Amino acid sequence: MRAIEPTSAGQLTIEGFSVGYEAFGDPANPAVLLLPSWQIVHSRAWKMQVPFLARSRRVVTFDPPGNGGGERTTDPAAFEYERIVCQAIGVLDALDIAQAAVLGYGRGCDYGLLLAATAPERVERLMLIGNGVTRAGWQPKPDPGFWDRRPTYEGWQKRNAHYFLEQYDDWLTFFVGELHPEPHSTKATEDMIGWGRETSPEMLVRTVPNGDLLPRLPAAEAIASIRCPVMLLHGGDDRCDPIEASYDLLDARPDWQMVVMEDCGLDVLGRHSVQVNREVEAFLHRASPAGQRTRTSDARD
Amino acid sequence: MRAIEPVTSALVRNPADGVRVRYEVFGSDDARRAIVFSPAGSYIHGRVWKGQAPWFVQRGYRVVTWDGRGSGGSDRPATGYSPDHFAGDLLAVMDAAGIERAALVGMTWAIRWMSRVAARHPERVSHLISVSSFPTHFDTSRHEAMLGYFLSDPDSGGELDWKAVHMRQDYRALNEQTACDDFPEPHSTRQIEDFVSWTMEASPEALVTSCLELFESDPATFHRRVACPTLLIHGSADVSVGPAFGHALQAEIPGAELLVFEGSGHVPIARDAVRANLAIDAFIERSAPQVAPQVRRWQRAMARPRQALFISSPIGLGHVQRDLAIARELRRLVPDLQIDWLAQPPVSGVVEQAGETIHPLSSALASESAHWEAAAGDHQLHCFNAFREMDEILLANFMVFLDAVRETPYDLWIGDEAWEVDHFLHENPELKTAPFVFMTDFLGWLPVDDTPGSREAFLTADYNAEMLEHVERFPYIRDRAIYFGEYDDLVPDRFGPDLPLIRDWAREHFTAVGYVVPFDPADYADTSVARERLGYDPQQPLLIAAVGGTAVGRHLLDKVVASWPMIRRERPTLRGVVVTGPRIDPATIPEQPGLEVRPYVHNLYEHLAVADLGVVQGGLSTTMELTVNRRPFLYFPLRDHCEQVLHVTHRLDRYHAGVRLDYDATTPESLAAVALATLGSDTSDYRPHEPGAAGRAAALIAEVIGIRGSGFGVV
Repeated sequence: MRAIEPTSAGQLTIEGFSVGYEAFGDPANPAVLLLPSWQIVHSRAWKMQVPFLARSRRVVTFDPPGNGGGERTTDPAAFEYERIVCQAIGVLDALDIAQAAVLGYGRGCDYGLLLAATAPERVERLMLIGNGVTRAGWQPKPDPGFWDRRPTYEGWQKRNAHYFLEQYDDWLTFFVGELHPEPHSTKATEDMIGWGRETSPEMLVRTVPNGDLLPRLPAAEAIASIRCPVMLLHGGDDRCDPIEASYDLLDARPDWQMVVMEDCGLDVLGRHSVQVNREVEAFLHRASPAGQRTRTSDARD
Repeated sequence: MRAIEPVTSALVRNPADGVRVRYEVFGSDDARRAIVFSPAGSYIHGRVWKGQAPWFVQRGYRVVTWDGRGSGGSDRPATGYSPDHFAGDLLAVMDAAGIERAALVGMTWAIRWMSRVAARHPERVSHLISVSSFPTHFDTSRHEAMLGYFLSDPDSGGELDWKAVHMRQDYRALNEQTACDDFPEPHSTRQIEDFVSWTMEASPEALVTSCLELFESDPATFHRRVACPTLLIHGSADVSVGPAFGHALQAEIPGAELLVFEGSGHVPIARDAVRANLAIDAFIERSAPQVAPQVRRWQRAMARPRQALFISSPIGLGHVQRDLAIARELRRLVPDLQIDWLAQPPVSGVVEQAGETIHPLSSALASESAHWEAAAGDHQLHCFNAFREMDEILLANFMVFLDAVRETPYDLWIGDEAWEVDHFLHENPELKTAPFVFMTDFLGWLPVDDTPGSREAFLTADYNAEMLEHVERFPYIRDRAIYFGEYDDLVPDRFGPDLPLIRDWAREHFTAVGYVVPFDPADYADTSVARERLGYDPQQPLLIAAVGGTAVGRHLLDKVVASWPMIRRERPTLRGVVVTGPRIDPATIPEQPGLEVRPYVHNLYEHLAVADLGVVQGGLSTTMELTVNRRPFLYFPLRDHCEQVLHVTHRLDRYHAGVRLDYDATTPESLAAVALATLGSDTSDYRPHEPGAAGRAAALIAEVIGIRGSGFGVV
């Protein structure tokens, strides 16, 4: 059983596709939006954060097409980053949420940066966990060899359309394993492989950017334009989105801050949940910048 | 001594009426934020914030305290004590200190002028924190009656109370009574003493006038106009200003938070300074983004190395040698253990020289040895009084310790006579977040003046009682308590009248491991070999006079030097070495033929180990080093030093070691005579020393973090 059930949930058709959403906690509380990530997982990836955050906030998750509550389709338009960001805004609109704190992880960091850059009035503050975006561009960078058959498939060579289609389970096992270098990660890996099986390789290959899924707005411009407070969280042993990307953001934005979780892989959400929750809470609880003082509904110590 | 000295201590004139107000500024010019502590009117001055200033400086604030007009170093005008006058003073102080914007903190009446400043000049005030305060209106229907009472004369046999006539005629008695009322918490002797001494530095006449002017019914709506984040702190056991007033005040200030200190009296910022500091700091942090480092690190727990924080007391150099010995033994048991040392001079130098790591926050520690030296007289040091008066330094240093352990998740805290860590953990048990091992060679304050009913007898018993109560209530604070010695080395006294025997209590609550010497006596058994190594002639008689790590021993050194010619006349081949220690300048010792003066000698115990006579103060470590190496020695306990006079003497008597002398009764002639008689004398009746104490201590410490050694026993 889940630790907490949503207070509301449903399907919305936004930007031509059906999107599933869930909202938890008291609707009167300030909102926090937990963005989707690569469609190899879905909104349950936030399962360790939702119950904790929902005690003091209205927590919103949603699944765009491809996995979880999103419709299943192989139409590549469904996986465009800009469209998914529009869907995020659509979900906020439907729930009557003017502004939310926004959290993203993995590909969700791309969405978060794009959302904060293009709809700044909707984003109160932004936390990026396991970010892969740099000033050089959105992530993942298109890999021209993704659709080519390979003579061998060792290690990261498995990240290949043909391997997805023909050896999907092995790809999942490999990929999820890379996200969990820590010993005794069986439950976390089981969860994630399970979520990976809820989509299909036919859909997943369509979610790998080939140039026309990525946003038109250059990443560097998006990074430079953001005005809300931004906090980064990154596993020091992240073998999927190496921490250098987050350091690049820090370099670009000296006013942004980062917490490095040493000896942790990418899946800090699932594997180091207590510390993640504490960091998220501390970040959400931090006062707004001067001029935007919010008084009452912050959770007190 | 103060824990921190002000960078500026000056007077500023209130431009409205020319009254001069004294203020002090602490911390650096480039501090990013400021905090201004206001007095509670004219009654108690800026020193009441002594527990706050050091730590807030460390937290990156520029700190300002000031004395209200009518008190401390400020002028005492005949009139002009209204809230507007004080508000003008506050602004004048901020302007003089160059502070554009600050968090304002104040007690009781200060809310009147702090709220005025916050309402009229919101750009100057970032936060408002008010302690033990009250709302704009007392019960106005009672205002006339209250005023009448204040101005009335006593009935015959009238009780001492907050009235003009008592302020004028019985000021000290009134202050003593108020102090006791304001500190209902047990074991508040130090705070009460401070309170009385500071309130005596106000003018009773000014106090009366200020009460009248401040009492005036105040219909102003300043409280409602406060726009900055506001925190109210109130003790639930405050009898001077009941907690209901705190609640009423909260209703008057928009969005104000109220933090109740359950069980605390009127001055929680003094009696519960740790908790008050943390609460104020957290409040400010919460509502104003601070400049955090851009990158912070958290390490997955199972990937962390084992780390310990070792707090080594800086009074003299005795503790550090045994601590280094214990650290060496500990590393045998736990080879991957990383140790950070929280240590200050003169200990930090020894620690660094041994290749150990000093925690960077050590530089923020307030000097304890400077305080002890300042408390010393001519071969005299009332160590209990010096300890009591070190409360401000101990608090400041506990806050440094707290920052260190909040920063790094140590597996273990080891404190050798870390009195501040031990005391404040017992007062704030929720701050204990790692196993804590407490070690000491000294247990039980004893009065030097033991006249029954003496103030000192009362105070030592009170301090001991507090410690006993702490340990009984919170036995889990000390995961291990280690005593350096055998149980019988403890004095046979009680902790106080009606308190347990020290020895009996120690058997229940301490593990005695024996006395640690930082060397193997076997290495010095053959003195000729050792002497060759150290550069001494094996045949030449050798006298070494050393007085430890502080400047306190200066006077003894002078007597030794004065006696030297007489000694040498009888023993012309005698070689003498005088070691001045790191805090006495050797150039100030007059030259004498045959007498060598050396500044600090590393591993002095080696030299003492080969001496034919040691001449030392009464400190435990040096006398025990001489005892263990079976050296003849003379020792001079510092007058009024209960540890040297009572505890050390008892222990050395048990070892049949050393010749105890009274410094005051000793002349250079008598010193020469006894030195000659003791030089090279027979020490075969010295009680043998059980080796291995450092290993036993290390085994007990390692057990606390789950490492079992090879079955060391205890003595």
